[in-house]
Amino acid sequence: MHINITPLAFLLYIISTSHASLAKNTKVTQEVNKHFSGSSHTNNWAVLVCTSRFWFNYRHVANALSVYRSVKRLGIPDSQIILMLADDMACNPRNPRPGKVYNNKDQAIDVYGSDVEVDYRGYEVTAENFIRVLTGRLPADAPRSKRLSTDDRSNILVYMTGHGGEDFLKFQDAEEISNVELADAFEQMWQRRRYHELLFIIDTCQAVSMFKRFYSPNIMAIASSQVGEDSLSHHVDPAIGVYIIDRYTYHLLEFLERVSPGSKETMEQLFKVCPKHQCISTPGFSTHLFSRPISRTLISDFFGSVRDVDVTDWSFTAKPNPEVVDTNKRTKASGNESANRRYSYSQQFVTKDSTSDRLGTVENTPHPLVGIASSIFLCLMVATMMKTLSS
Amino acid sequence: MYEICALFVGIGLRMWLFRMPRVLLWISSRPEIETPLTSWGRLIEGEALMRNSQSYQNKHSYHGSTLLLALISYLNLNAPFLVEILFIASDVISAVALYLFAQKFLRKELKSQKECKEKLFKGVSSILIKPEHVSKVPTIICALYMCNPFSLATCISKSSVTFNNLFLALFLLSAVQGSIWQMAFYVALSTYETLYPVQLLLATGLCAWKYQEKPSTLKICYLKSLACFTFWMALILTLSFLCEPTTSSLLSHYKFILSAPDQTPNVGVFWYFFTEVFDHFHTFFMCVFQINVLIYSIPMSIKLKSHPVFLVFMLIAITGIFKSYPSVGDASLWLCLLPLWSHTFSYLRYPSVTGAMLLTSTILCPVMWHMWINAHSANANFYFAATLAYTTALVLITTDTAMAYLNWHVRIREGLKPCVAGTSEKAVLRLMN
Repeated sequence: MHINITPLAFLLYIISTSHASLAKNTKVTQEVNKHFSGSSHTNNWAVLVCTSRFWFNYRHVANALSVYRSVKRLGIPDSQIILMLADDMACNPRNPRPGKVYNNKDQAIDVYGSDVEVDYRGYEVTAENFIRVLTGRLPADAPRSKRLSTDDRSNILVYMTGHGGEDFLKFQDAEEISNVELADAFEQMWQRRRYHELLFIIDTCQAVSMFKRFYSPNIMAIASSQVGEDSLSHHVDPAIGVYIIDRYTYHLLEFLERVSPGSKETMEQLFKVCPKHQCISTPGFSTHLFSRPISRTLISDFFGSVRDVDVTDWSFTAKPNPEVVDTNKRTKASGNESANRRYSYSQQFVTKDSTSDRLGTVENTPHPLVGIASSIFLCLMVATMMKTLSS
Repeated sequence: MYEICALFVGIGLRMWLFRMPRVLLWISSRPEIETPLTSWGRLIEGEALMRNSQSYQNKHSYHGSTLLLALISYLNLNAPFLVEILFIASDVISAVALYLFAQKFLRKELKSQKECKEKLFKGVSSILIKPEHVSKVPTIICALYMCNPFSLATCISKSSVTFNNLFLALFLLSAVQGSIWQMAFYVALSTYETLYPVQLLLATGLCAWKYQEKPSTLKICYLKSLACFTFWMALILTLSFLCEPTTSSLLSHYKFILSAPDQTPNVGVFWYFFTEVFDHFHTFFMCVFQINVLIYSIPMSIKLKSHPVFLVFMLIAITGIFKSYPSVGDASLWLCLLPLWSHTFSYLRYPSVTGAMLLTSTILCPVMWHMWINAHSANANFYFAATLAYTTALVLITTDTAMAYLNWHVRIREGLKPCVAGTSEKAVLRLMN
């Protein structure tokens, strides 16, 4: 009887190897899972917008600045944060703590500080500028600090706070941005591949209406209140005299304090922040456009700039490249003319005295025959005119 | 005597205005005087481009002819003061040519009127051409051309319409002399500059047939004029090709005139329409508008077979109104020729209306432009309305003059009063041959 050994051997092999790798199984699963739900972004940006001005809207500025501080602490550099504030709190004549903005009545953290970098201040915070920043359609002379130079591997956090209504958000008392415009701006960003994934947090009244028109992929949105509800402020600081933080942002900051660079908190935990009994308004979420499961999307995918660093234990020495020419020493004996050529600005227009051979030889001088022919023709013309006039 | 005074006054005015830089600046920015085809600023830009790189025919700069650019750039390089003298001289020569033309034309008309005295009705002597016409009208025409604001503005702005008017004036002069070579030469020159005077070939044959010393058939005259025109045109195009040895520069000039891509406002009818026409109708309407310029030539040359100078006048007028980039300089030439037909003025139906319309629209055009562009309180419709009124005034003057001319020719045969209604008289229209 010839028993077929192959399936039996195969089974034995499976059992033996699986027994040995049982300990490694979870790690393998993790590795595999990482490839399927880990984010593949390479850089993080944040756009933090406070759309209010005037002293009594202190809390909105404190909101935006607190999120700014958290995001900076978690690793996003200033060069990748666009902060839009009216910036009229710290140096406001009504501010009893000049140059400082606090987000808590214990005045423990000065969220303004001496190293804040506000990119759009004062009257530059307009709906037009906001959309221009998002879509990248800025004039050619806009400085780099005012540009959102993202690419298709950028994860962007967009945080907006201020006064809002149903389907709109008020910008500095003069204008408003509608949810349709915002959705279209994000769609423009998607079409121009300006983001990989986008987290949109909004802390205003009736905030959910602002994200309900989104239609671009890979956007997750969190709003502090539903349509018909108002987002409320948290507490007043009697020493300053105004409400200094909003409820949702207060609880968001409490949550973010537990997050450190490299921690594995997920978005699912973020969604549990500020339930109704704490916030009085009901937060709203939108994940239908987001492709990854929120239980596997890390906070640091948006709030931090954590990169996985691969530490190797092998080293190599870089050898000097023999083709690299040391331009400090001009050796005539090298014989390589192009290496020794001095670099200069290229010619703008090809002129007669330019010896650059980039456009080939340019003949600007007309043929001498042309001059003779033209003068003959001119004489002929003048002679004909004289004949016409005289006869 | 008076014409010499008029010439000197005109020269003095031009030289004085050339010295005023603010006037020059203001006039060069007026769209009624400067068009993308003829403007001096663009010529200078084309010259600068030519000096610094190879091709000067790009979208936003010079669109005129090569030879003009070559001549002006040569003068600018070597003797810049000669440029102003060139423009003033061209105006002076045009005025002198128009004076001589008017004199010869009216003399010939008077002579033929005397010869056909028996064909004329009795009692029409009040409306006939008189010797005073021969002595006064040329002076008036010369003075009008030198001193009217349209030609002054054209000369001051150094637009190439000055040269076009020069060639047309010399064409008129050579037309009444009947020399085909000269006529074809001037038609070729002005066709080279702006494409539309090619219609004048129809009139060339007719003028040659009427005014030549040794009579020949119309067909031979036409063939001769066509041959001369082809020869001159080939010569000019060869010279232009030698100056700029690419065929694209040769054709881009005519392509610009025919396809009119630049919709800068001017006193014409093209720009407003083509800013709003849908793209898929663009070619169709461009063809329609260009046909509109050229189509009147054949029926009119059939009708005005024995009045070739009036045919030339009508062709110049219609071209000047309906061409793709007209300016007030185009109108100034034929408006100055109106006194030639002063014997027909009693048959003008609405001279005061059209005169007032022309004056009002000329004043309104800069006002509407200022309101549109500078004050932002008007829009393009206001400016187009003013230019439309200007165009309508010119069209009405043209048609009224034509009607008066034809009416006069009927009246001198049939008598001053038309036939009484209710009688059995028959009215037969026959032109004086």
